[in-house]
Amino acid sequence: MTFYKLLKYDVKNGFRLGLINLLIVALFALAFCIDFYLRKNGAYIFDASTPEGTFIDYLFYIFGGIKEYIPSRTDGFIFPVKWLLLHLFILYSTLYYPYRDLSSLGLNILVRTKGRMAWWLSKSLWNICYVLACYLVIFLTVFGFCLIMQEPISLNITPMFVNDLLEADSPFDIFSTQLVYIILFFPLFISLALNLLQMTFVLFIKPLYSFGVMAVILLASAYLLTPILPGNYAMPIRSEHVVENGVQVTDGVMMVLLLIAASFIAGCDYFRRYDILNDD
Amino acid sequence: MMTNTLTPLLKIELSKAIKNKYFITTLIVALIFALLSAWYIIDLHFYTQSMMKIHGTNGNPMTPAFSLFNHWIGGEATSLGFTLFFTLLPLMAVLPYGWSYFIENKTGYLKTVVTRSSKWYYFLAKYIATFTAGGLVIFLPLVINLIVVACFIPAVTPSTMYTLYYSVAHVSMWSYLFYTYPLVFVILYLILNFIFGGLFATMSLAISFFFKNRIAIILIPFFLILILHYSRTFLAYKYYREISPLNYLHSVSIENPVSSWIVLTQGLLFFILTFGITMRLGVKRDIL
Repeated sequence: MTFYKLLKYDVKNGFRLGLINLLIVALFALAFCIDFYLRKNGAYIFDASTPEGTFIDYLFYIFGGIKEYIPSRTDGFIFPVKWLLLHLFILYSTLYYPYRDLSSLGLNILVRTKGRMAWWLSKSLWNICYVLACYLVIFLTVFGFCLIMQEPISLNITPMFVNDLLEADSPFDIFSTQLVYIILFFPLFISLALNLLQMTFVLFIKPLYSFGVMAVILLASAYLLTPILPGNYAMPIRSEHVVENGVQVTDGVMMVLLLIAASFIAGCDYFRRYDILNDD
Repeated sequence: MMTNTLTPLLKIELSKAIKNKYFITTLIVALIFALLSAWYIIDLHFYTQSMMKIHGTNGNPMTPAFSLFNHWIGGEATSLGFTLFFTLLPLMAVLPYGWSYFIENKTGYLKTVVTRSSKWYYFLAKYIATFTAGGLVIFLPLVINLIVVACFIPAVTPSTMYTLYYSVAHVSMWSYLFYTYPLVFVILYLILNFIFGGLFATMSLAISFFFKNRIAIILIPFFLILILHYSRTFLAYKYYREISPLNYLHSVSIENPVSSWIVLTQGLLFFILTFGITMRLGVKRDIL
């Protein structure tokens, strides 16, 4: 079986299995848009008119995350449920297919590929395609919502929302165009890296524990503002373009490349010796 | 003639639920979270005490402000251990035994049991065992955290003078106990956590009847609770009572005060749905 055929098989079967999850991702995105719209109307109820939210404002609200938490006896930590729900759901969506394909029919396909590396590469590419599809669904849902609600489809960040609605505590009055790219690409890149890392972890520990490790990484990232926890780069609110002690773009790029490379190399290496008949 | 096989079946199920590697692993992970909270909070307590000695307290040592009841994992809301424990609580409750019916149905074990007993007994024993395993995996780390923290921080009765440090509002559930018999309040919360841990675990048992994917069976209850938690955002500035179990299972209010009616209603709803689905669909389903 050629690599192209294997990839085609994975894309077809993986997407068929995860189609309903893409629909759920769209529903989440729609709920987040409605949430932002209502919050915006509520916050500026006493103003002469409610300011319009642009396409990028909606995305910023969805992917934003939370500002740095400074532990205090009087203020408890409130985890960013919207951000966590989205990232964990995408992680859940890519968890089952590669694991399932290591049993029954998938084993026959693996034997026919005559190369475990090709199988692993194909699953990694499917994983990347699926995460890209999830983000495409989110972008399209936000785009559709903006069209229906007659909100401007533009990439101009509305500065007043950053502190009023996203509670970023930003000292800046205007935001650079670089922040737009961070909002559009960094949550996606970190999601890609974490999904690949999760797939690799499945080889070492059970899928559910692998998911648990990702949940711990995301929660720890929300709790601690530090460049070594990848979740921080998936929160544009914690970017250096929003807060002075924010995480840097270059560190984020390095983190993504490191995670993807480490996941792929460790996965390839371990999968060559992996006992595929161990069906526990 | 069918003899009463419920008692031996229940013994076997409870033994399987508690003596399996998933229960042990999840318990260890939950204990790590609980001890992480204890370590952080004990360290913070001694740091605060030493700072007060250095800077002085103007004659007020604020003793009731620094008590066991706002330092154990159910009373503090500032550590990473607390965050991990209470956010991942529905997931940890399901992991020990929530998957068992799905596996037993898949491997055929269910048939061998049901032919020697009855479906009703099997599902009743399964429900009780799943509930117990889910409850225990949450309850035990909380108790151990309480004991560890109590070894270092005195159990001073909270005072209404320091509500800033307690955030148990007078309208909150069992608040009258908190400021008079705080240990009773804590014990009631431990029981509440056991019950909800058990109910979360049985959610996956009920979901097993609809899905053929083990990962979905375990993770769907967790996502349902996260969705319920997120739905609070639509009640902002309209309703000021806690509706999320992730918040109200913590004895000190994190965002909104807790209403006993909401806790009771949700608990009953979860029980009726999980027990109803398990017993009705389980007994009705043709397993042969």
